Amino acid sequence: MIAPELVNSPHRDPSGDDGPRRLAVLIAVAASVMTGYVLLGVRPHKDVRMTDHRLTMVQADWVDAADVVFTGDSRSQAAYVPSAISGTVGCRLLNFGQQGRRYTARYFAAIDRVLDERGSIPTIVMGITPLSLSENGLPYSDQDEIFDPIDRWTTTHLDLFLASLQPMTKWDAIGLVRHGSHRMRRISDCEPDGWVNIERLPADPTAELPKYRSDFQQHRVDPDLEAGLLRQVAKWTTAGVLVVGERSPTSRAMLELEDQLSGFDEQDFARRFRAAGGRWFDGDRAAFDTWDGSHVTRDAALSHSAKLATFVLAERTASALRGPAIRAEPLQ
Amino acid sequence: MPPAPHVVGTATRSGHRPLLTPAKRDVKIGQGRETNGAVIFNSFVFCIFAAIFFLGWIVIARRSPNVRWLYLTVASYVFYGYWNYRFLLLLTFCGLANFTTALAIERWPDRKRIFLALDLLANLAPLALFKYADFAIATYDDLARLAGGQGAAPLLRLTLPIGISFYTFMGMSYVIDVYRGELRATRNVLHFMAFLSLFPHLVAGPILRASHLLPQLTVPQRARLWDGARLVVSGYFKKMVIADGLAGAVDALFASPGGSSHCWLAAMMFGAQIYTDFSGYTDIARGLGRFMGYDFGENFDHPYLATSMREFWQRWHISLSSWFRDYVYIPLGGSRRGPRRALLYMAITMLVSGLWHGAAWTYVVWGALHATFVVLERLTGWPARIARLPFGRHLCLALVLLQVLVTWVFFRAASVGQAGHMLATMFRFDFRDLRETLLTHQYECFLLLLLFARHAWVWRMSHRPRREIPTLRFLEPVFFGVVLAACLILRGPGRDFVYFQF
Repeated sequence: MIAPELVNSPHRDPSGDDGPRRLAVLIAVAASVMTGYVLLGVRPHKDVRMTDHRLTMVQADWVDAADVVFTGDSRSQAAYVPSAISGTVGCRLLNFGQQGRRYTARYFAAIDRVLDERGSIPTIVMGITPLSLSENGLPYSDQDEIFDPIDRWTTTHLDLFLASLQPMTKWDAIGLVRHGSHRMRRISDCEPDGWVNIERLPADPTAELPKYRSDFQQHRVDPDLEAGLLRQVAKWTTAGVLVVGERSPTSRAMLELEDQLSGFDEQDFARRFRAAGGRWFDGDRAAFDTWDGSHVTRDAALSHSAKLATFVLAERTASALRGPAIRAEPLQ
Repeated sequence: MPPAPHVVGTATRSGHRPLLTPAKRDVKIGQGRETNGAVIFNSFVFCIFAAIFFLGWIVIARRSPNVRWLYLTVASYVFYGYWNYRFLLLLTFCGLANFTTALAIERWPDRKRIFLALDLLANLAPLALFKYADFAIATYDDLARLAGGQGAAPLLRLTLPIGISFYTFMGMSYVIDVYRGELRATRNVLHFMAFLSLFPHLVAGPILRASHLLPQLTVPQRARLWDGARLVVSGYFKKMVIADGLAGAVDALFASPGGSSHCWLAAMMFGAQIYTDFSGYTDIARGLGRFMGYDFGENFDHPYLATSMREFWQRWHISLSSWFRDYVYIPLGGSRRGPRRALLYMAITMLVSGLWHGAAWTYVVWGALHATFVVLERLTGWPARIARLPFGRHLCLALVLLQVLVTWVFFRAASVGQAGHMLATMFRFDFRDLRETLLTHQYECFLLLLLFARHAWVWRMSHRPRREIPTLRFLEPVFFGVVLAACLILRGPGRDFVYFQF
């Protein structure tokens, strides 16, 4: 029996006394839906082996770990396959490409950390994209190097479980509605050597183009970043490091879009790259197959890596014939 | 692999040269200030905080008032200090100043005017320093340039203490109520600090009145779990799914406005974003309050269903508009000195309200536009006339929405110039890029439709007698359970609440 004075009281629970029971039902339903979401794998994005975040953590632990280091943004991650070409080149290779990465002094320092300078011909292969030379790219920061113990523990032990709890992006949601869950997949397979094999079903060779079009409307290639990269190439080559550069493989449509909008002049850049002491690889002008207009498919990556490996091997042999590297100054 | 994230938003906004500030200051002063690390409701840290707090509250809720107030104050200090512990000093100063002034007013009533003036100074000085100093410097700089001088005075770039506009206003209203004799000052400093710093409302409101909350804090309240859960879940849905889902597109659309459809969509999306963001925050705050048994009152009542601008302000940020009514408009003279003066006071109040939202000319113009629309409405009485036509109420609703959208462009744009350019583009009515714009933003359009459907439902139900259906009551927890899961599955990239910057 409710006291009469409480009937109109603002403090009376209008839902009656069954609040705790109803709250329990709410939580149970939410937990059930989330469990179904995880177990049924509704989210189209699938991380195999490890997530991008864990890969960054693995990469942060690389110290003097490779004789040949591949660098750049996610296109480099997708295009260079160390495990497939280590036999050809005959040394330790790692892919130190990182998603959205911009070439900054901090990133160069991190590349130095990964590269083992004690080898006969330390080699850096730079995948160049307009994004990596513009402010659209992400600068390397503490977040890519320093992980607090809780983050490290959860990433090491709960990586894929936590990834399965990630929300759907709007592209996931639209894709699911348009294609159905059985046909909509985006698989990101990160290997411990840094290669990220990306698969997107159904393939959409134009998916990334609008984003890049919008990005380059805001930020074109930054001449200061270009100059900084070329200065670093000169510094490395003076120090005896073989530096190979190339325009990261991508689709023809993306190349055309970037040539039109990004302000990147590949021929001029290659000339300046060579002048700084680097070697420019332009031997593979094939039209690359991509899943999304930006990142190459597995087959394209393997085929391109093989061609690049031949070039790198030839350059390393030529460097070896010219004599041992003379370090003019310590690497910085 | 998802596309590489890139930075959009205030920091990278470029646009058109502002009217009153030079191009290099094309970002609103104070906007984008440091709020990183704040315990926001949609963060994992808050979940841990809330779990610990409410576990403790189960024990504390029935203890003596002093124990409850101490617990609430300490928890609120932890909540606020996690962001920046230095600003706890400011919160404490503000609290003690208001507490002692109220006591002094009661003790020495013949000197209460002096005490009130000192209290207003103590509250408004930090607000002016942290929030408006850079705006004043920039404006002085611009005027000096216009006069042919050098200008270029350095900005202070102080970190804006989050929530300062909210807790100073709460403190001031308490002292003013005591001054007016409408409220007895509390003798217990813990009681007052628990009221002022109570964590659900501390950083983004609602702006609570002491007369409303202090009595509730005095006696143990019955927790209203289900009521609170409904509010919290719907608040999270508004914030995490709708507001955060729209935020990226709004940033991009305002960063590089295109044709008419682009600009209209930008205005509509921002209207939806700011409503769901702020009312979502308020709902979560109210829900948390109800878990403790406290009622914070309504702060938003479907403002986009207003059929006049006057009604809009009775539905939007109710705690702020009633604050301005009671402590600015009425003290200025209200309607006591005739209808013309009333309009003038209304306009002044709107301008001050605009400036409260932020230190930028865009906010001033926003307030001025609202003032203009309200004054025109009062003078012509158009809502009443149009409402008599067939579908008149629908037309009124559309016209109010149109006016509000126009004002939102100023509220969100980086500068007055950019807002002007966007409005000019909007009213060119060139919809050649409509299809492409809609296709590019189909997900965001779906979110807009969702919000529209919700409002349409409320509009429809508001014209029908309400009756409770037992099946629906049974299904309610299931529905909200699904909504909670949807918050987790469909959440957008985590963002600060928009009103943190005010």
